[in-house]
Amino acid sequence: MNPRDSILKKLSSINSLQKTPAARTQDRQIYQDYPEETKDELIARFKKQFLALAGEFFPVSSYEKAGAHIFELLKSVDSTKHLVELNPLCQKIFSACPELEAKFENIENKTLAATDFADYATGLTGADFLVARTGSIVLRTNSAGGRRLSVLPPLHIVVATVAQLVPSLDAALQNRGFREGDWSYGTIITGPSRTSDIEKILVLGAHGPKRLALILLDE
Amino acid sequence: MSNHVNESKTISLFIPCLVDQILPEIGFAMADVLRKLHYDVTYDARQTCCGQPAFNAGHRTEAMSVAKQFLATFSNADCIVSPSGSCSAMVRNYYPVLFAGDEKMMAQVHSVQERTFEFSEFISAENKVERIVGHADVSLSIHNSCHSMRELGIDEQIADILARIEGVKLFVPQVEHTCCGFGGLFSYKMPDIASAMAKSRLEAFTGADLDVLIVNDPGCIQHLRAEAPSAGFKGEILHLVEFLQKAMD
Amino acid sequence: MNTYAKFMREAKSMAGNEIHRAKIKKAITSYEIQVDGMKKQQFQDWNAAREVAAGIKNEVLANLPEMLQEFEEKLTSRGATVLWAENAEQARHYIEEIISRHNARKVVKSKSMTTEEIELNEYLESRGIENWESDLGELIVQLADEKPYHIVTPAMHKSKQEIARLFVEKLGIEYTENAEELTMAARAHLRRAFVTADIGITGANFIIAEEGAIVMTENEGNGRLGMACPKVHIAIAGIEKMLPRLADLSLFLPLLTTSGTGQQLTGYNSIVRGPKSAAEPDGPEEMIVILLDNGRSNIYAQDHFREVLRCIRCGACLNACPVFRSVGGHTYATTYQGPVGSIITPQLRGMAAWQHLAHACSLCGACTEVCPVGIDLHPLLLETRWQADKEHAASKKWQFAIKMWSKIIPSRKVIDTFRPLMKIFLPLAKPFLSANQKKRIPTMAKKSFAQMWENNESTR
Repeated sequence: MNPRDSILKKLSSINSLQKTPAARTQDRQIYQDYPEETKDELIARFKKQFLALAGEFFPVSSYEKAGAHIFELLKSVDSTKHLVELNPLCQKIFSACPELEAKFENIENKTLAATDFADYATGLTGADFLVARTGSIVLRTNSAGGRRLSVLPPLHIVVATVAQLVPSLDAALQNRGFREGDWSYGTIITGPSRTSDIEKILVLGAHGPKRLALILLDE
Repeated sequence: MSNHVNESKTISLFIPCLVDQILPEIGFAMADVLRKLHYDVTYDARQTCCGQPAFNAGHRTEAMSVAKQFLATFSNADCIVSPSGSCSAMVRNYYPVLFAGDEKMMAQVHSVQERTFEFSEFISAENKVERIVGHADVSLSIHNSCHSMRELGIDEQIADILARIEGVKLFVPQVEHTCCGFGGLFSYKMPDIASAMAKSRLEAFTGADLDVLIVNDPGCIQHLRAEAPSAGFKGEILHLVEFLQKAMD
Repeated sequence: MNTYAKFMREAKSMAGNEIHRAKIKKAITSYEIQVDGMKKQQFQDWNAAREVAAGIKNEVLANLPEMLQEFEEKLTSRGATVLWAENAEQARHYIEEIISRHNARKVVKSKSMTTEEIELNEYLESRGIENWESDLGELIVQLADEKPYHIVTPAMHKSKQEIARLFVEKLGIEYTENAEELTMAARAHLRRAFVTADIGITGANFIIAEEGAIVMTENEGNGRLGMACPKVHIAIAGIEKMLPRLADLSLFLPLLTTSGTGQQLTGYNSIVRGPKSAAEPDGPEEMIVILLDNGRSNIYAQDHFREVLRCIRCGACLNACPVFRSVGGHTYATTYQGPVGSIITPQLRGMAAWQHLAHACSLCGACTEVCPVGIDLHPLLLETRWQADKEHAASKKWQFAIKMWSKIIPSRKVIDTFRPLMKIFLPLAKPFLSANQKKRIPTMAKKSFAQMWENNESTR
């Protein structure tokens, strides 16, 4: 018998088990810190969590202002090479700030080996959801320009709108649209890369981005 | 499990084997204190051990024969009170495991487990804490045994009882409760680990310059007394009932 | 030396090691403060939450064969391969086949206890494959030529001075005790490995039936890099890592992380549903998930032990365990240390050689109290001891002693006969015992409680 059938046969030989589905709860029933579902509270909570994780938070009210913040962020890094996944939101920001567009190379127009990323200081991506309760950014390969753009460059800038805020993780994971689509990889990002493996001392930027910045647009 | 107690019941002393053979003063102290609280106290010498040493070591066949003897001894008792959280937990929580599937024995187990209590739990459940009156000018702290705490859910009861003794200064250590390292045969099978655990546990108290450490399990007492010198703990290690016996004089 | 003798020797040496005790105490105290704080901050009712989690894991166990097939079907529909390994050898064989098919020279690994279980590092080394552990803690123990000390914090036992000396020797850096500088040295060193590796090997914290996805939780981003750069991604997951639905993560991720490190969520929680899709610019061309049994189905078959398969490997029971704190992770000499390791190791690797671990426990119940999926850990350790007794794998010496004891103890008359003998025998035994044994040989009371009560005597 092949290993697959052999394992399944062993597991299937136990018939005494109750097969009924377990009781499940919504996040609002579990978590003490479940936020109120108003726009202001969602923004406030996300901000609080995100800042506590050493995220850099920029709430803006226009594409121009979003562009200005991105511009400032680029000035703060060593390299002059930056990559973008040119999603509709980025496009609008670039339209509002044409000088910004020239700073970025569009990942869609390039064929980059993993080794090529060493030159790039910044990865600019969109996001699928912002989770207020935990200050997390949820993205999938289709909103993030693949797997590498959001993890290899030392600065990861995310642009998102307040409409993408959800109170808790279950709202994102239960969202029908989230599970659909031809994506192979998604990740829930909660702060910049970190480690405490040396004497429990917190160090940012272990392997992934050392800095994580969010431009949150509220028109 | 909530055990209900009726007024004016006679108490059958449940004397753990360790108390019977090594620390009889704990048994007499408990009897004394219970009498001071106006209980009638009886003792049936057919009891010898609850079977916990064998059960905990994994030898359930042997544990069963000892446990049967225990159940027979206490079949007609009103209230069964023990100075050990661990032995009470054996009867209450692990007899049902030991005799699982044996309906006849399980009937006896259910009947006896309902009437079995650890001392501090019993006094509290009976609302007799307020009857305790005593005096002792000492600084002390509490080591609640793991089985008393986690198996029986005994928590504030010991401090509440001690609060009745005038002059007591209670020290609450900063660190969370940890096991003293007794664990029955564990401390004989793995003596070096048990010693290290005692040392870690006593560290929580050594800085406080205590007169007394109150413990509610004879096993922990025997173990901690043996370890105190090398751990640098200088206070007296007493069972709750030993302390009460003196303080209530 | 057999496993038991080795354990006893190591335990003795570690239990007396004050430097080790101080390091672990420091690490675990900081862990406890964070975990207790996060439980209170985050959960309405921690116990209610873990009951829900236990229920979901029980649903998994009741439907495991069906869920494994659903997982396989969904994942393979997106072009991934699912391989089933009954044991470590099969799993290694699959990996060897993949390596030679791709003519691979360099592997980058993220932290995975399942790969420790199949001794993958030793295997890759023996085949001359360059193999990098990429989690910082794992890298430290790999460079030190050690096994992980703890399933969640592999280098918990290493001080920054020790790590500094190690990095000077192995990575050629300037001596520094600064944790940030040490971390940056590892980052620079491993970044080269990530972008040039042929194969990324990861574990999985969860696998999702409904979604056909594996889920990996981490803080550093090394897992993400390992799944983003090499052209092949191999994930090895125990068959019990299952969750029914993607949305179950909204409970299980915070539960795992709160118990594991005291964080609300770890930095990155990745959901992987296959190799790079046609629409995606990058990602592995090939993704293989190896589902590992390696004895788990034997645990599954036993009603009393099945619940231990609910374990999500958070490490909370290790941190809570006073025996673990005293002897440290390496003393166990197992992949999985502490209480849960002491339950599963005798099941996975043989009762006779490993049952002593179940006896390295004072039954204090601290593990059971902290388990986020409500596993009755200390009762299962008792169950293991009973199984060892039934299978005649228990210590002969103690078995005999208990047998004798059980003949004497139920009868008051027999006890009274033996009492005087014991009083003579116990002190005589002392010269044959170690210091730590000797000091707890009790002094028998002059008379037993029963004798004194009978004579209306008292101890006062």
